[in-house]
Formats: sequence, structure tokens, C-alpha cells
Amino acid sequence: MALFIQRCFDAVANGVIYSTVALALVIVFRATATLNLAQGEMANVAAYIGLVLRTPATPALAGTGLAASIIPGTPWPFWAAVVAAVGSGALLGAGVERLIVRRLTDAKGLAVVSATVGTLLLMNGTTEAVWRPVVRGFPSLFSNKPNDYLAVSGGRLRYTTLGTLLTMFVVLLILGFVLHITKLGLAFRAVSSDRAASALVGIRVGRITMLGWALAGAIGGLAACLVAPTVLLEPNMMVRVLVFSLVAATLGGLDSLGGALVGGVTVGVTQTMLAGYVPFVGSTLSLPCALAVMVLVLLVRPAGLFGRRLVERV
Amino acid sequence: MRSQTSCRVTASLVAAAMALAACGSSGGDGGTASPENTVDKGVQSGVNDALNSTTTAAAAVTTAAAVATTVAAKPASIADWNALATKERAAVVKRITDNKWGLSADGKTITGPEGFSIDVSKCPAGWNNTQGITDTDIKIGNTISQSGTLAIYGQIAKGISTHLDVINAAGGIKGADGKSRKITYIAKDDGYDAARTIPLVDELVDSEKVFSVITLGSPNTMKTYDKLNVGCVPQVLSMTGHPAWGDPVKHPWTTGQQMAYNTEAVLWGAFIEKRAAELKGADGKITVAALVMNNDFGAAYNFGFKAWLSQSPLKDQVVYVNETIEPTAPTITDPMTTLTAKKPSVFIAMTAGTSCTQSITEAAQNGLKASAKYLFQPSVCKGASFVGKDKVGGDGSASDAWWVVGGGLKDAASPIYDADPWVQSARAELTAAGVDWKKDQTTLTGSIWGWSIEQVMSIASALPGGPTRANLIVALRAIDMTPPFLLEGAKFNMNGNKDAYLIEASEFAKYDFTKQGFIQVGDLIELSGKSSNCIWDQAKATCT
Repeated sequence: MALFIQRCFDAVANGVIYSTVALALVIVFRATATLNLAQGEMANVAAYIGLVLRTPATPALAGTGLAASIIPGTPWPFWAAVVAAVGSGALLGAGVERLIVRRLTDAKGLAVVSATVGTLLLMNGTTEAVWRPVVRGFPSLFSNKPNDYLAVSGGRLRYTTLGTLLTMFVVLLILGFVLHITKLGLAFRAVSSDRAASALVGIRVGRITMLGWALAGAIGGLAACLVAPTVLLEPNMMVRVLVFSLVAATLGGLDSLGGALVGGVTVGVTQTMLAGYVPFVGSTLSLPCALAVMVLVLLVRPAGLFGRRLVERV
Repeated sequence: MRSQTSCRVTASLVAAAMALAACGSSGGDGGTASPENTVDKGVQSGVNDALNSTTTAAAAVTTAAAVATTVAAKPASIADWNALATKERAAVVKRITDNKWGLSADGKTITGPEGFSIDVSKCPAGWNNTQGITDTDIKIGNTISQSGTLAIYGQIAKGISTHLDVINAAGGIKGADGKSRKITYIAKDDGYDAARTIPLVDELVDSEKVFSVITLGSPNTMKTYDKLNVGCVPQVLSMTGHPAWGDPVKHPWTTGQQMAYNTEAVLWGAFIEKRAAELKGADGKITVAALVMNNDFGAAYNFGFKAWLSQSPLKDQVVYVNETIEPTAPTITDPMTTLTAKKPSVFIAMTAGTSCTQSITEAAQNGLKASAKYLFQPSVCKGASFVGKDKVGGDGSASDAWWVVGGGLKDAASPIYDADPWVQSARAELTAAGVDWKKDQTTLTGSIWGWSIEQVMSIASALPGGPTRANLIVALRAIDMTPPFLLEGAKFNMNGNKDAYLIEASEFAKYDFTKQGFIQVGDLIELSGKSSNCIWDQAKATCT
């Protein structure tokens, strides 16, 4: 029983990791109807910026010398470094939209998606060149010592899992408010639905799109700071997470905020339980099994579990 | 709407494609193999002899100061080390020339010590014994993972090129023909993806026309060694400890350098046998848990350990459980939970790269570190690059008391070796070249390979006929030296068909987080010549 409880906690812990990046993917999709495959790498860069700002400038760590020379007051307190990471993610998101995506607005097919793949590779290579392909310990936003957990029927529910889950809920609430209650949210929905019609009614489409990318970038930055203590910060950290987050976002519905969370946890539960209780699956086949679940769900609900099924007037 | 629909389809396809790529690692557990076939009786008896003649580990903890003192008592400066290398190279050259080993006068056979022989007539038409050699250059190629999840090992290339630049600046490698040649070193990034290694090796051999090839990684070397051997291209000093590189009869052109993974596995087993009494649970069983990377690398460890277990007197008492992980897995939480639930006395990480560090942090958090009596990192994760304080986070105590079968190499990035003359020299070379070894610690591993390349090329060049592929492979098969990067007492030798492994020595070491280094425990175990040759059966994943 204790093992089952622990696996439940592990499933949630893994699922929340996937959900954090899935949420950023959903934000961009909701705001601009674009799939941003560079989302994870943008988040990775933001996390590195956070690490640099909170790390004393020592010869043993690449990148810190630069920070020490141009940014006053390093090392910053960890909370300030995380805020800076979130801000950096927003700036990166806005920058990518302004410099790359907006120029492809009229392009046909999957040009924008392809451009985000290029951005992913560019950022991955740059990250590796600047910060080297080595693992970096990244502090947790929540207390993360060996004994920092709630003991529940023999299982360990770590404070980091609880904290990340709680953070996700808070972010979801804020986003829900912004997207459903405010005029900004209305503008996001309008632009993602019909850019031309939005422009005709006076919405500044370019600015709204850029804001959507900035918002997603900020959430991505926060996501990277949340997952880095577990996945461990290195140039490919978010590449390893992205595939699971894509599955989570698609499963939950690419335009559903809550779907990102449910999708992530569903992927986590599927993976953990199948690997744990179906001997021939193991860790090798757990991801393909999660993909199979995604395909099954999409066959029944093409828009995902919580995605809106779009109806077009003909 | 069409855009949104296409995005949904794209997201699904991209996720599926990435998943397939992530799952596409070669090898696998291969659980149907017969482990009895892979046990190396020579290594096993050698380990037992060494451990039985050694003081108990607990009583023989070698302190950092003691290590430094011991090293300093040997060649006291890098000049002394270089003088020793010159002397030992001359001895190898003399042995080869005295025995008239090398390419026969009719050009049909290459001979070496202990029955080593290659039928050159079977090499492809147009095979060039001096490809990659000019009057001024020796061109060598290296496929290495400079990107991807194991990109950290790509820093080895920088360490190699830095050392070779120093050698080149000093005039290069002197040949028997009176010419001095500089080494041109070409490194190509394969991302640890064997599918990319294959065309890159072709490119190096067919387009760059290199003299010899070095490959990094077990799957990557495995996928190319048949073709290179058929083509009679030297594939030397491979950066992997898979036992398959000890096959001088069927794969004479391929050699490794580091201690074989199955030897490491036997040493884990010997460690368990020595401590059997304290490892037994209430049921009288000893549970050993292993986290195994799902590729040829992990499989070599896994089968090596199973081989030890199959003939161990403890085989009925040891319960061996293992879980596999994909090299690209973002977390290892699930398999670590499963293994921890087995309440193992001993945990062994048979992994590489980021998952080594993850195994340390996970074990600290899920209770395994507190419950298991002994935890082992693999030799490939011995360095501070994987276990240091800035990697595992916090005060670094998560790494404390982890053990390693270290493969006999000094951890040149560790402060424990600050006083060692070779370590100082390697660090200084890198620093002078603008490489910050503290940032890029794995470059120091490249200094090791740089030294080895320098030595084997020097020996081959000093042989009659100068630097030829035949001379290179004979030089390696007859080499016997004392490298400055090995712990005292470790040998660096091969002997034709009788001894096909360069390094067969290892220490047991325990991590001390206050010193940020592995501290040797007990004496070095030297197994030179003990390892049996290994004709690797890929289908059964075992030595025959």
C-alpha cells in the first residue's frame, strides 16, 4: 500500500512538471493559435538567467562573471532571481514574437511552427555554448531537504510537489481571471479566433500577440524554476520535458488552461502506474503508452479532454 | 480554425516523433542472455586475490594528505614524468623491433606479441597503410557527443586538442624517418546518437582521410567497429569501457582504454562478498538494486553484474533487482521509487550523465540514501562534474558517502589532487589555452586521452617505417607504460592476444563532501592481464 501511495505522489510530481510547460504552450496557443516548440528552450534560458543572478561570481561557474560585471548586486536573493527569470522569460517571449513570429504572420502552413523549431535549436546551442553542457544544482522555491515531506500512509509527499501544485493552481486562477474576465483576455480570444476581424474592430493585433507570447514566456520561466531542482538544470533540461508537455497539452486540449494541468497529471499517472504495475511496460514503454492514451482520447475527443470543439458556419 | 486544427495535429505528431526518438536507444537489457557466459574468471580470481591480501577497507582509509604524499614520492615533477615516458616508450620500441613485429616484408601480415596477427590481404583493395600521414601531419578523427543529453563528454575533445596543441607547438611527434609531424585532430559531434556516428565515421575515413579513429560511447563504437575492422582502420583508445573492445582476434583494429565495465561489475560483486554479513536482511538475503541505462552501455554493466552473481557463492542469497531508464528521461523518480521499495542493502547506478546526479538527489529525497548501506556511482560519473556540491545542490551532502569503483584514474578536478604534478600540468595547459577547467571539468579527461594519443603516436612513429597504421596497432598491442594520470601502481599495458585491455586497475573510493572528492579506501586492485578476451555476441549481449 505504501508503494502505491508513493507512486501516486510520484505520478503527481511528474505530472505537475509536465503541466507547467504545457500551460505555457496553451497560453501561446490560446492567445495566438500558434504552437511554440521553442517554449521549453526559452524557459531554460530564463532559468539560467535566474541561476546566474543568484550565484556568487566564482571561476567555477560559467556565465557568472558576465553577470557580476554588468549587473549590480549579484548574488541576488533567490526570490529576486526567480522574479528576474520570470521577467526574462517574458522578454524572450516578446522578443521571439516581435523578431520572428510576426514576420511570418502571413506565411502559409506550418511556417511559424518550423520557425519555432529553428528557435529551439538556436537557443539550445547558445545555452550550451554560454553555460556549458554540465549539470547545475538549482535551488528549490520550496523547502527541499531530505526530510521535507509529509508522511502519508508510508508515502512521502514532498513539499516541492505540494508547492509546485499550489503554484500551478494560483497561476491558473490568475490566468483564468485575465483570460475570461478582462478585456485583455477578450482581445486574446478575438485575435486567436480571427486576426483580420480583430484588427477591423480596433484591436492592436501585433501588440496583443506579443503580450500573449510574453505571458507564456513568463509562465515558462516560472515553470523552469519549478522543475529545475528535480530535472536538474542543464542545456537539454527542457528538451527532455517538452515531449511530455506536448502530450499533456494535446491530451488536455491545446486551448484549455485546466486541461494542461489535467493532461500533465494524466500523463504522469499513466507513465508511473504502467511502469510500476505492468511488468512488460517498464520505463521503456511508459511514454509510448502515454502516447497511446493520448491517441485514444483524441480519437474520441479530437479537441482533447477539455479543448473547445470549434464550429464553423458554412 | 484550420490553423488551430493543424496545430493540434502538429502537436500530436511532434510529440510522437520526439517520443520515438527518445525511445530509440540501441541495445537494451536483453534479459534472455545467459549470464554464465560473460563471467570473467580471470578478473574474478584476481579480485579475490587482491582483496584477500589487502588490509580491510575500513582500516585503510587513505587520507587526502596521504594520497598527495604518495603521488609526490613518485616522479616529482612533470619533467620527471616526461622523462619516464620517454624511457618507457623506448623500451616498447626496442621490444617491437627486437621481435621484428609489424608489417611483414611481403606486406601481407601484421604481427605482434603473444600471437597477435592481422591478415592484411583481407583488407580492402587500395587499403592505405599511411592514410592520413604526410611529411608534416598525422590526421586523426574523433566522434564525440558535443550536444544532446550526454554533451558533457564532448568537453573531452577540448582537452585532447589543447594537449595536442602543446605537443604540436613543441615540434610535434618525431618519426624514425627523421621527420616531425604535427597531429591534426578533428572532432565531430554525434550527440551520442549511434545513427549519427556511422556517417560521421565514414566522413572521417573516406572524406577527411584520417589515419585513425576514436569513438566515444558503447553504442556508437559498437555500431562502427565491424566496418572499421573490415576496412583495417585503427579505432583506438575508444572512449568506452565496454568489454567488446578486448577482441584482438576478430576485431584487432579496435582497442579501448578505460577499465572494462564488466570488470567494474565484478568489483562491485567482490565488495558485496566481503561485506556479506553486514548486508544481510532479516530474511538472510542481500538485496542489490541497480538503475540501468537502457543502451549498450547499461547492458554491459547489467550483464557483468549478473555474470558475477551467477558464479558467486552468494548467488542464492543475493536478490538482484533492476530498473531501466531511457537516456533522455526527464526524471528518474519512478524507477528510484520502485527500487527503494525493495529495501536494498546496496544500490548501484549503472547510468551516465545527468542521471548520475539525479540518482544522488533522488536517493537523498526518497529515503534510499538513509536506508541502503552502500550506494555506488559508476566509474564514468566519478568526477566532480557529476557529484560536486554545485551539481547536487544544497550543502553538497547528498553526495556524501557514495562509493565508486573508480577505474584507477585520478580525478584531476578534485582539490585532493591539487599537489599532483601531472594534474597541475594538465590544469596549466588548459588555463594557458584559455580553457577554464573549473568550469569545464571534463576537459581534464581530455588531457588523459591527449597524453595517450601522444604516447601511442610517438611509439608508432619511432618504429621502422614511421607512423603507419600497422605500426600504430602493434604499438598499442605491445605498450607498457606508467601514465601520470593513473593512481600509483596501476598499469597501462597490452600484450597482443594475451592482454587486450589497457587499464585493468581500480580503487574503491568513498565520497567526502567536505573535501569534495572521492577518497581512496584500501589498496589499488591491479588486474593487468587477468581479463579474458571478449568476442561480443550482440544478439545474446554477452562475451563468448
